[in-house]
Amino acid sequence: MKGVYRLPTVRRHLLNRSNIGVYVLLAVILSLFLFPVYWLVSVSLQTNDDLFQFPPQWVPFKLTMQSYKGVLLSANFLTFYKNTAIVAAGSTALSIAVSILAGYGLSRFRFRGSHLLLVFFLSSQMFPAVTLLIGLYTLYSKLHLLNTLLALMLAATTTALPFSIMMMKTFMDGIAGELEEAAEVDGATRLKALIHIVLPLTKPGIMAVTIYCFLVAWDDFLFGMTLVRDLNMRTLSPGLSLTFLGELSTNWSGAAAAAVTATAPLLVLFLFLQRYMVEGLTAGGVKE
Amino acid sequence: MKLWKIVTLSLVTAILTIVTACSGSSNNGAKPVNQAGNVSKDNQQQPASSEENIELTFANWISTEDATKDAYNQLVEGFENAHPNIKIKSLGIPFNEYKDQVLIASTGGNTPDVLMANQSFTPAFGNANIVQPLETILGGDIIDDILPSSKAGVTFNGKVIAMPWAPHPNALFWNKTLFAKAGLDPNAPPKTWDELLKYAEAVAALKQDDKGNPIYGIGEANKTGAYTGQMLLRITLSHGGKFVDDQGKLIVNQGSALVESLQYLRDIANKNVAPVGAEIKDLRAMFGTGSLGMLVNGDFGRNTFRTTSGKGEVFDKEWGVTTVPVGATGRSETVFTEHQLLISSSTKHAEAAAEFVKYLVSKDAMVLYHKLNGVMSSRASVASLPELNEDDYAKVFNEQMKTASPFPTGNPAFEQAMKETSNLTVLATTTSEDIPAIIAKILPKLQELYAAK
Amino acid sequence: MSIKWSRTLKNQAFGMLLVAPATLLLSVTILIPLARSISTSFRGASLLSAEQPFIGLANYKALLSGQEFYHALSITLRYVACTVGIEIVLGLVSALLLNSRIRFRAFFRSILLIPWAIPTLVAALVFLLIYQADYGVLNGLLIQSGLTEKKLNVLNDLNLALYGIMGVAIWRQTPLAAVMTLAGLQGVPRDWYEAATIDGASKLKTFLYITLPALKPVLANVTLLMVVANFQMFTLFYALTGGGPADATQSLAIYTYETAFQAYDLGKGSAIGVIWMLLLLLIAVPLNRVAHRSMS
Repeated sequence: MKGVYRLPTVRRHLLNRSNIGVYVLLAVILSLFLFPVYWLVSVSLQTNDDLFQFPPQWVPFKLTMQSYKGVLLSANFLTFYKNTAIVAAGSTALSIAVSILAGYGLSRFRFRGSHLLLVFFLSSQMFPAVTLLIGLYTLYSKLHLLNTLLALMLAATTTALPFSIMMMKTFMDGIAGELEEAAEVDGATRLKALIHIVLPLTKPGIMAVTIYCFLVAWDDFLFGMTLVRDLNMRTLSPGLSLTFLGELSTNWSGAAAAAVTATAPLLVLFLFLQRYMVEGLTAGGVKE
Repeated sequence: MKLWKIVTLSLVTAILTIVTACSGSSNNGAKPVNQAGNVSKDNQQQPASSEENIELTFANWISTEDATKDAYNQLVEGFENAHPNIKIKSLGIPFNEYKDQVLIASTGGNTPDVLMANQSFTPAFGNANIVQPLETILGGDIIDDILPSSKAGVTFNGKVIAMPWAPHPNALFWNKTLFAKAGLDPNAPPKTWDELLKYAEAVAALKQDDKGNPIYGIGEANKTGAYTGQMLLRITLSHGGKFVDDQGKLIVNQGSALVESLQYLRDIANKNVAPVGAEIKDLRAMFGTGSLGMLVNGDFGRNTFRTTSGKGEVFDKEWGVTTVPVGATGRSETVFTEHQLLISSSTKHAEAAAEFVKYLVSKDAMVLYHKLNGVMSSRASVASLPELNEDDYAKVFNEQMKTASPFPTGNPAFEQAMKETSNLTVLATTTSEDIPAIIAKILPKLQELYAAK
Repeated sequence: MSIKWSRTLKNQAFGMLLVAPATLLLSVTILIPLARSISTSFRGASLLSAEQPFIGLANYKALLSGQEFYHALSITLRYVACTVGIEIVLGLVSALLLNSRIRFRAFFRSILLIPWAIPTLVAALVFLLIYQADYGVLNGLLIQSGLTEKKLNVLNDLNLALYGIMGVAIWRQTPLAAVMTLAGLQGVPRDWYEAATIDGASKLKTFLYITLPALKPVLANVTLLMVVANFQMFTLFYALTGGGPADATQSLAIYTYETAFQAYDLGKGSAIGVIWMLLLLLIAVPLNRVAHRSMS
């Protein structure tokens, strides 16, 4: 991020003419992007009876938590929730550990085939998941991994890994190597240098990878739909699709409440940590 | 230092969650396969000659559904009381995943001893060679008792490979309240196809209720999907169509039947007499909420409408059910779906399995099942019992079954072909393209698909 | 000398050790399945039978001689081109707005990113509610504002369904494009602009000759990311239309999935996947090169 141009904080002329235009345009764009979120929440807070009318109510007049009660009392939904949390946590932890090592390896060492490896990591995100799925399906079936959360964890990790490694590598590229060399002269091993010197400096990178992996795992639909068959093993997206989406025509409010509940933890995590995410994307995505 | 902790923590978490996931999976995961696997192992340990304690696995979906769970338990209890040496082990798989699960378990060598199926699963199971012919093992008495239309649906290459259990013919439901509002006699449903159209238009003229909800005269499935294709087949029957010719080729387009059927679907869509882009689940919900004048649906309609209306049994008073109006053929043409029972070709306990199947289709079991869930029997002698004709609802469906046709499911590509068939309906209801042109575009694909396998 | 040499060797070994877990993981979950998929594509493989006889190019021949594959390909290309195009433009506009002299930029950026944090399936569900023909809010808006008289049935209309899906993708993905572009904008050295101001260049010229070229690698990267994500898009198609009405939204992802997992024809499904993958690489490799070359 050398030579970055940071805008000076301008407090004067805040509302000069050109700025009003900018604010108005920005308001229009933001409301377009936020309206669907508002609508989802609004639907989840009404009874189905109030929803079935035309024209729809832009501002609901009777609010009820009924649908949320239904969702939170549903054993199936809680199972989906638990499974998703396990898969997301497991794959995130695995991705972090693996991508720190790989990122460091690629950033600091040149060895035979290291460039080829980089190309492999980069291009591996381009293989269509549906294509891989056919091979994965038969492979997992032989390994008796079908219908396990481990299968989903591995699948999510693979999806997130290429980009995570690139993000980590870029972050580590940005840290001067002299520090480690100095440490090595003092007799520390390479591993110790990584842990004590490099890692503390890559904290934003680690945070970025964490959020990214968590989002990817939470978002998975295809793998959860196919690699797992048991209702007990379902994660949120396929679970929602199989239960609430199927019944959408009768239970809009319930489906919306389930959707909100499924998104809420992600959104909270995201809003708190998105600063790192943006940094990570900037580094990993832009300057790779 | 702190970060070192983070890394260690994340590694530990990774390992822990993986371990949990693995152990979790060995408890709950791969359940169907494992259960089936264990059972077949048990079977091998006990030669068929030892009649002492037999355990039969029964793959089904009715034990997984709230509406039928109770009936399932009582049926199995009844059988186990009568046959103390046979235990039934349920392999409950949700309906949506049923066919895949059974096929996957079976190709892995773990076919359940007895399998439940419906008219579209049976051909797939037959094609995968995992079930056996039933004539000898069940006996002529039972086989000859099967209703002719049901028997036609389970006969493959001249052999009966599935025992029809509970048929679900489609009949016409009408909303009495809407009929009255539209100035029609609430107790006089349409008798002919022309009346059906007239009444549907009259109800649709109400346009909307007090809350602004649209009101339609009739609902016909017209969204892409196998069910929509099946309903088109039903409509062509009323217009004098026939599904397959003597060579087993899918024809549908008998005379002008297909053109007229598609014209009917287009007209009701264009005149706002029927909703467009509707799946059957949408239509059931709409009938339940009083937005549809009429709907052709199976005998489980009563339970569905009680739920979707939110009014329970009280809602029964607002509608009636009758046989599908008479069309070009002069009789009440409709289709039926059916629950069927199959026996694995690799079972070690063929006789016990046959006993179980015989019990499930017996008079006692069917009377019980009918009392609890309103289902009917595919056996002539049982369907005519007074216990299964105790009210008008049951009578209408038993009557309807006499003229109902089975789907041409003998071909394993049936479901795919039906999805393709639905494109006829979709194009007719969402475009203004010439109907013969639509048929010319889709039908050859359809026939190729159906003939391919 | 020998000490130095062994040190290099040691470092090399350490480097390899570091990348070993990642390589292993990606090999097991990408290379092996990929090899399997490719090998399956030359076989008559079905989920229904254990035998998988080698049948050479038969699957490919069947695919390339029929119409369905080309149909699915054209749907996919149209979807990707439109979606990514609009996302890039809209993302650029939003980024430029956010980069101007405004207050609460961080706040605006945060709330703009919200759609991206919403799971794709939930996004699909939201728009199912919005597009719903009888009670949906889209028809409410169109009819109340007098734009249309008849209610639209977006997802069941042969001409509208694909745009309906694009709308959802654009809604969910544009924020990411905007934020990445914004990051790129903030990386443009200030003195470049100052020089332009001294030369008296107009705003448009500054944008065309300074901002845009400086953004080239970022935009190439955003495009790459979006192309890859949308070329693969399965969830939205599956949840919104399932490929209907009448195959109007039958994308490659849906076509592959249906062939392999609903018609149980793993061989043909794999063949579609292999061709599709080659196409994706064909598009992605040059984009990747642009993104990299301009950066160094």
